[in-house]
Amino acid sequence: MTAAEVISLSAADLAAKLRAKEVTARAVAEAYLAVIDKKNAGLNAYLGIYDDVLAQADEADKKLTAGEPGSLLGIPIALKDNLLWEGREVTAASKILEGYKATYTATAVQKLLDAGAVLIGRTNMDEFAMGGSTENSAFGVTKNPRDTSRVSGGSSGGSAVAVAAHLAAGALGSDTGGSVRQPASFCGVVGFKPTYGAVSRYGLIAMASSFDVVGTFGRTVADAKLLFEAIRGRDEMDMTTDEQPLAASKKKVVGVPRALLAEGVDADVLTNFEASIEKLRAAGYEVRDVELPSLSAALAVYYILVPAEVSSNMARYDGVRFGKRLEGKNLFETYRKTRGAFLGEEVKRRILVGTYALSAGYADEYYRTAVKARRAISAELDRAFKDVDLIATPTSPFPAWKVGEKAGDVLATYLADVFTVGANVAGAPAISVPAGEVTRDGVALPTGLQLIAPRWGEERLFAAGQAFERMGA
Amino acid sequence: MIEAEIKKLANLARIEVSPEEAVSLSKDVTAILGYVAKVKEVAAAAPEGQDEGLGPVDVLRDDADPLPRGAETEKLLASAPQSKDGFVKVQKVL
Repeated sequence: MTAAEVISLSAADLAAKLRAKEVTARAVAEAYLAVIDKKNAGLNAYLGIYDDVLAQADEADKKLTAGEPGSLLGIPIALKDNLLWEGREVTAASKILEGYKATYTATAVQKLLDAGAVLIGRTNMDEFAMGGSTENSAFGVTKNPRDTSRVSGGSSGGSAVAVAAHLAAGALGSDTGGSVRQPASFCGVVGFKPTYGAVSRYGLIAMASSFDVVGTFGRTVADAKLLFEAIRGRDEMDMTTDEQPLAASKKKVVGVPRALLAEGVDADVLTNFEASIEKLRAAGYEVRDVELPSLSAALAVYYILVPAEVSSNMARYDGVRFGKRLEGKNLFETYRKTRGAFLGEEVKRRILVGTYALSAGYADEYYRTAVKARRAISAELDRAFKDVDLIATPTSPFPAWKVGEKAGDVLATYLADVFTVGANVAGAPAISVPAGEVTRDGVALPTGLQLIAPRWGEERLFAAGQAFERMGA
Repeated sequence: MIEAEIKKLANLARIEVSPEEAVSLSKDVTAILGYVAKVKEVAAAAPEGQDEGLGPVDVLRDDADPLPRGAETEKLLASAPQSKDGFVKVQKVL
C-alpha cells in the first residue's frame, strides 16, 4: 500500500488492513508523520508531536504479529492538549502551563493506549477550551484546511483539523458546549459528544465540570464510534461516570425545533439543513416539528453556569503547585501577577463573569436562577423525547468565519454555540455529521447536521448518522 | 458594569488587570450579563427538585485505601515553581 492510500483510509478500514498484515503500524506512522511534516506548520493543528511515535508503532507491530487483541492496534490518534499523559507536556494551550508535564495519565488516554493506539501528538485548542475558533490559543490559531484564512472552529480545532487534513486517523477532543461538534462541522468530519458521564473526566483538564465530556473525531461515524467504544465506561476516579446504554430505537422519528431556526441562521446553512432533513426522510425517518421553547435560553444558562464553574476550576492556577509563577512583593501580589500575566483574555473574562454570578448579592439572580433554568430545559427535552427519538438542528448557524472577523464581539462568537449547548446543558449525547457545503469567496466550506439523543441514546445517533452517511453527499 | 467594579472582581479572583484591560473587560462583561439575563423567564417554568433529570449527583467513592504517605510527593513537587524540604515553597502568608 502507498503512503497516500494509507492516510486516506478510515480508522476502521486501517485497523482491518493492519490485522490482515497488508501494512505495518510503522509504515502507517511514517506515512502520517510525513504528512504532518509537510502540512502542520501551515495549519498549526498540533502543538507538539510525541518523540516516541515510531517506537509506539513498533510496539503495536509486535502485538499485531503476536495476534494480541486491541481495537486500535497501530491506529494513529491525536489528543487534544487538555488530556494528560504522564511525563508528557500538556498545556491546554495556555501560557500558564507551558512546559508543564503531566503527573498522571487520563483514563481516556490510558484506554486508548490499552487498545493499542499510537498516540501522535497534542492538538491546538482555545485556551482551557474556552472559545469556538482556537483564536484564543496562546500558541496561534489553527487554520481551516479548506481555506487557511478561516478558523478551524473550536475549542477542539486542532483535533478536527488533524482528522480532516489526514494528520491523524482519529482524535480525541472535549465538548463542554459544542467544542467537538462545531469544529467537526467547520472542517467536514464527524464529531461525537457522548452522554455526560459516559467517558471518564479523570485527567481531562477541567473547564466546567458539570458540562465537560471527552468526545471523539472520525472521518466516518463508524470511526467516531470505534474511538468512543474504546474510551467509554465507569471509572472509580470519576464518580459521575456510568454505563446504561439505551438500545437503538425502532421508531425512527426525528424532531425539528422549527422556532429555533427562525432567526440568526445563515440562509445557505438553512438550505443545507432542509436538504439533510429530506435525506433523513429518504433513509426512512419520520420528521416532525417539536416545540422546545426553553431551549432558546440554553445559551444564556450556559454562559452563567460555565463561567461560574470556570471561576472555581481556574483557581488552581495560582503559581504555587504547578505552572508558571510571576513573583510579586507578597503572596497576594504573586497570585495576581501570575494570573494576570499568563492567563488569556477569554479566560479572564469568564473568571470575572463567574465570580460575579457567584458573588453575594448576585448568586440568586444569576447562578441559582440558571440552575433552575437548566432543570427546565432538561425536563423539556425529556418530554420531547417521549415523542421523538432524535432532535435535528444545523450544528452551527454559520460556516467557518475569517480569522479575526469576530474579534472584539464576544457575543457574536458565543452565538456559534447556540445549537450545540443544549445537549451539554441536559447532559445528552449528540453528533455532528458532514452535511453539504456552502461557497464563500469561491471556496466550498463544510456544514454539519447535528443530531441529539436522550441520555445514553448514543446507539440511536450512530444508527441515524450511518444511515445519513449512506445517503451520500 | 463600571471599571471600578471590574477591578474589585479581578481582585477577588486574584487577577491583575491593566487600566486598558479594565476598559475592555467592563464592556464585555456588561454585554454578557445583559445577554444572560434571559434565564429568568425560563427558570420560572422549572420543575421542583434537586437537579432532576441530570442523573446522580455527589456520588462519592469510599474513602479507603489511601496511597502510602509520600508516595507521590517527589513527582508532584517537581511541578511546583519552588519547593523546599518536601514542601511547596511560597512567600510569607502572614
